[in-house]
Amino acid sequence: MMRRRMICAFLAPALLLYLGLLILPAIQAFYLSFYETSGFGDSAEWVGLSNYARLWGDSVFWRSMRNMALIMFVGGVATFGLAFLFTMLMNAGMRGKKLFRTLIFMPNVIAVVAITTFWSFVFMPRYGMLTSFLKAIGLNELAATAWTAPENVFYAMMVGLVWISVGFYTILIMAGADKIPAEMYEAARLEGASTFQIFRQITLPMIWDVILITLILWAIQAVKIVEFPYAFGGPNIDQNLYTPAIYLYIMGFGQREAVYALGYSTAIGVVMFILTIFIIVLMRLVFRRERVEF
Amino acid sequence: MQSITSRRALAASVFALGLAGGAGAVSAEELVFWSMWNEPEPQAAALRKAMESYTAAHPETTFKVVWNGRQNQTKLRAALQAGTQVDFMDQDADQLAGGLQKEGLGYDLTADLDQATRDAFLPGTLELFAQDGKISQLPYIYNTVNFWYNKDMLAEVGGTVPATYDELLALCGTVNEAGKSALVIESNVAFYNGLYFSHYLSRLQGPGALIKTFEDKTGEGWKDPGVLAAAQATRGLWEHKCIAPDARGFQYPAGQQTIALGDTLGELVGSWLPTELSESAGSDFPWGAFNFPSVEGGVGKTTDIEVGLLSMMVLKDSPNAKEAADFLKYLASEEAQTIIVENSGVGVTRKGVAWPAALTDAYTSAEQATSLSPFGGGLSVAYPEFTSTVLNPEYNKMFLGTITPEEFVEIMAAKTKEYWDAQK
Repeated sequence: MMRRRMICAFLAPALLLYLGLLILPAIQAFYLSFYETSGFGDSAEWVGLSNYARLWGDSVFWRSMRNMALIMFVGGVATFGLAFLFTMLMNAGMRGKKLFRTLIFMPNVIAVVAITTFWSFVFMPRYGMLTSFLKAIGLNELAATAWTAPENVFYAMMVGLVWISVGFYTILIMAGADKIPAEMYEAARLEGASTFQIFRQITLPMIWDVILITLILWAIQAVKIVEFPYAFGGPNIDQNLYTPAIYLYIMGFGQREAVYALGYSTAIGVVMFILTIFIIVLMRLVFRRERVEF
Repeated sequence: MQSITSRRALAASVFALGLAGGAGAVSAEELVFWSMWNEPEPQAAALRKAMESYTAAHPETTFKVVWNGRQNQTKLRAALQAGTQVDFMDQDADQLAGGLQKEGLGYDLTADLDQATRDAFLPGTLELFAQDGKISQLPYIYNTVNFWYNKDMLAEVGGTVPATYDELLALCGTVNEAGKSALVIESNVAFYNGLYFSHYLSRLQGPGALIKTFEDKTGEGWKDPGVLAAAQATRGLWEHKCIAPDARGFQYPAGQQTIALGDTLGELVGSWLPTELSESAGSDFPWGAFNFPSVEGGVGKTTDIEVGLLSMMVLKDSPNAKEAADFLKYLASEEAQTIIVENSGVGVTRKGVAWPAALTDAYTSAEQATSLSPFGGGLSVAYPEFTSTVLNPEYNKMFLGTITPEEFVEIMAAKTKEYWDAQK
């Protein structure tokens, strides 16, 4: 009994902070999304589900959702494809494994703004690194491509995003893979299994719980992503780079134009929250596997 | 009830701001100023000097400043909800007009500004955001929108400042012959690119034409032949090779850097450009500026200009509103305006205070102005959400060649009708 009270006493400050700074504002956000308000004055008008109805017909919102989906699926395939490839290569006994692991994780310790500045320079027309490289190898026609023009800017951003994400997810997957007993790999090799077969038949099934967690983390990141595309696109960000979180920011927090639709912007936040919960539940159902004990 | 709701909703950010801003008790003589500048910026240093100078003359008044940066008004929103005392603040005038002023949270400065003070402002600046004769904000920094160009390059290619749009197109050819581009853009800054459209339409149909077009609630205003002509003419800048094709990919500030690098003659932008390029172009760069030229058959004057003013506002509920208004009056004085010019290298709103050498042409433009409009012909102030989510992105698509001028006009007509129908 005494022990239980002690646990409650020690947990109370953290729980109160969690409740006051996360749970209550989240509940409040649901409430605010039924109002039309700029957030300035004392006047907020109850509009019921109007903000949600408006979202349904808002082409900019759907564009931001489309971009979110592209990041989740196209970016996800690229990120996890590369992360699996690196895991496979490192588990195959490559030399300099620790150095390689450090190098691919390095972008994660650099500020996002610095990383995006670098990628903006890579893709900059006329003077950028990619243009200069393509010119140097004689591909002048390709060098003339405006990589950050409206039709290309999203995928230019995605390249940078995948580059920064691969290291993080590789490290997580590797952390799981490192726990697999080495004898299993040795036995497989003695049986003549290829690197790919070892990865598919041993590594993947044995770290499935880790994979599921990384996939969920990626999905959550895709839903709420703001910093990388926003920093890449600059303060006057092109709608081609909008994600729901960026659109929420534009609509609620007055950027170049004085748009202060706080109720509407909160409705976007609520949709993002519900979407995140839905995706997590769906992924847990779809990717459910029996746990492998070792 | 709604009031309580809003207060709670913003509680978390207010908590953080309260810590940062020092939301504690304030003495009667201490004016609390929330600023749009960051502390290391020269404009912050200039304001600091002006405040020191004011305190020297009025020892009973001191200042407590929170340097919030460009999100000042948004941060202030949360602070006001929490009841934090802020006496006065500054922000871009058009953003203030669509924010605090629109909500009626600005103190009425009209009675505090005597005639002599009002007369000292450059033409139109004090009145631009006044509503029914009521002045809620005091503009203190002045940016004009002009074509900013390299005077030496213009002379080298044998060009002259264009007086008409056709002359501008001809100048593009002259500059191209010298292996350079006449103009450059930032593809991701839609509101910069929209300046071509709003200026052309203003030259063609007079100031306020864009607002008039939008306020036709049927959407048919966009189908006016003049609107299509404006869209086609501005898109035509690419066809006349005024802008290099690869500029479609320039993301701010890559485009403007080409002026500093000597690849481009100039850009249609605000008078902040020389300051922004001062490091890469050098302090002796031969800056010149000219107004958007006239267009054939147009009724607008070349002296009708778009401006970006920065304003101070006293908060309506400030317990020190009179004292803060007195400081604002001082800020409009020759002494304070000179401090701002000398310490931050920007243009100011008082007549007769010389702007920095690089901005000489901008001062002339401001002094001779016959009509002032905020950016984008004022639509961004009157209808910020439509401008932000529809006009700017759709125009940018057209300007960058993703859709045609005809499609742009059709889309705008439909979206305008949709907007007004939703307001019913």
